[in-house]
Amino acid sequence: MPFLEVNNLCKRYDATQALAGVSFSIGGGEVLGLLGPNGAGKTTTLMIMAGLLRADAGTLSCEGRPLDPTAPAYRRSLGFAPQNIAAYPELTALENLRFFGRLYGLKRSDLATRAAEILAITGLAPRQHSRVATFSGGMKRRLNFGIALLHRPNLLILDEPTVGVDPQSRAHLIGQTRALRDQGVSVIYASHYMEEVQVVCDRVAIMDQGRIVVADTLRNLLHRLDAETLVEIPATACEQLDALTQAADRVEQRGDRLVLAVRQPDDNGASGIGPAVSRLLAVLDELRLPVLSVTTKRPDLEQLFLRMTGRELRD
Amino acid sequence: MGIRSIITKDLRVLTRDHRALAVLLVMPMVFIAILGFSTGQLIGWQNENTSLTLMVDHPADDPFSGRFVDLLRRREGLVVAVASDAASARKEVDDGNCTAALLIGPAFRERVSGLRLRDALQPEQGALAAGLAGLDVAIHTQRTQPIAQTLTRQLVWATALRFIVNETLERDPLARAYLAHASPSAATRPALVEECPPQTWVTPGDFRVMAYQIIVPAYTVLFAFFLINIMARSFLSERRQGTLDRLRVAPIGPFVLLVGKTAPYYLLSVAQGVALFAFGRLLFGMSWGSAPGMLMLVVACTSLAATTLA
Repeated sequence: MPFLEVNNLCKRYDATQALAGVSFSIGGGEVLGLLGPNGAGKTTTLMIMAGLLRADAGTLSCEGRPLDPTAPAYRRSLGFAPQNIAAYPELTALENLRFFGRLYGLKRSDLATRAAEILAITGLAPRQHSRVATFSGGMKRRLNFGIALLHRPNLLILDEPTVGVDPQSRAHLIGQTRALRDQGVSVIYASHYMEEVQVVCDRVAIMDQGRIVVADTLRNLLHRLDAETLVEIPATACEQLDALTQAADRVEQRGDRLVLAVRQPDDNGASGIGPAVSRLLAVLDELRLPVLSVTTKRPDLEQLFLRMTGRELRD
Repeated sequence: MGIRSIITKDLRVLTRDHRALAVLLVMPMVFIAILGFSTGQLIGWQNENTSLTLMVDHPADDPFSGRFVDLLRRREGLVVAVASDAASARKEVDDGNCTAALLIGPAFRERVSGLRLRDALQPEQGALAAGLAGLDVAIHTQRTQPIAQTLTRQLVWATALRFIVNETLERDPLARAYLAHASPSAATRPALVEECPPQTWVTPGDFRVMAYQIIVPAYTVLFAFFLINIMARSFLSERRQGTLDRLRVAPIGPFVLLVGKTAPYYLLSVAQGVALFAFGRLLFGMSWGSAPGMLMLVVACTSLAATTLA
């Protein structure tokens, strides 16, 4: 049974249908990546899940039981890191942690321990007494993340947690998210960074125009796309172009080389040599053309995302 | 717990926002102080400015006019100094060292001695119809101080009438006989009119203090409502920086959030009101009335009205 289920959420802002029946689920200790172009409805979905917005229709359920997102018990189990840096710039990192810890009812001794842990996790311990206004973008992001973890939530909602941070902070945040998954925390990870989602998420849901277009494990999603094997031969082989275009899906010239591309279903694991590639290699052998290189380009999430949501610009 | 945490946090944030603090606490004081400067009511100036200073020149060898000067000295709100001559008295006025010069001529004794009781009782019709000039008395003030001139003239004229009544009563046999009959000790009293209960004259200084009785409370109300701006800014910045969402996601109810966000500004408004009244008393000598506790209640209610409006 999934830890949390979202069923048929609908939300309309005046004339705009922001959500048109969003449904997905997340298991315990799972990281679900929520992807979608701008205006797809990701933030609206997350805000409804955090109890900040009321859905026009649809339900949430936790372990099979109906869930009221405004119920204090749910709120105590929810960690929320909004897209903005939601910390007080006039206060120090430690003061921010203490304040939010008190709101979640942490006792004084527990709060001190937990704040120290969070400062260590986020790497902010040396600057705990500095005002947040003096922090770099990466430090602010780490604090934003840390505040969401303070009260040991079971469900963590991260809305674009790595926007505008340097690679070090990004790697740190991704590492911490994976550590949380290992501790059994369920994480909903909304992001525009595909490589990041590919690294950190167990399952991915792609949204577009207020709907979930596809939701599955990363492996299953990637198998929906064909891998592409590129075989390079000398450009002098142009004389046999007819035979080559029959054997390859695409032929293009790159300088003094011809590149022959062959698509094949991505179900061969790391080997990458399928029947289509074997056929092409046999043709090249018959024509006595030398093979300069063979590379297989595996499908990635970005390709899948563009395939699912299209390439037209969004507002 | 939640309310206290939010109050503590907001007060801490406020103390670090020096601009807001200046607007809330320093600006009202500066504003009131500017008013004090403009009306000459700041501390140290007040005692000087609540009294009219009069430089008197009178014949030195005339004890009669000296008695009149003594009577003037006893007037509340009037500071009297004797000049060596008329020219130096005028110069003191022209230099701005005193409000007016009172120049008593050599004919003063003769003119007063020629008056009768009825002249004093009907000054506008008899020998006193010419006013102070008819007594050989002149007042010199700066032309730019018409109010001071008028006030001085009225004070001197009122004192002169009292002096004349005393003098004419002393000389009138009927009046002396009546007083002796009515009360044996009364006949020996040097000045009948002086026995009247002392009148409380409203001096120019009193008017200014009365003005502050109105101005300080008025500005207390004004600045209490000025707080609305700062309070709204606090809510908006919570919203802009995303902390409002974080507060709304926390397991606290909307009531806790509302009270927690409102109470710091209420406390600040009360502190502002108390500081303004303390400032008004220290610098302008304003009165807190007979029940300062009720004044505190008014401050508390005004602050409540302002913060709830915000």
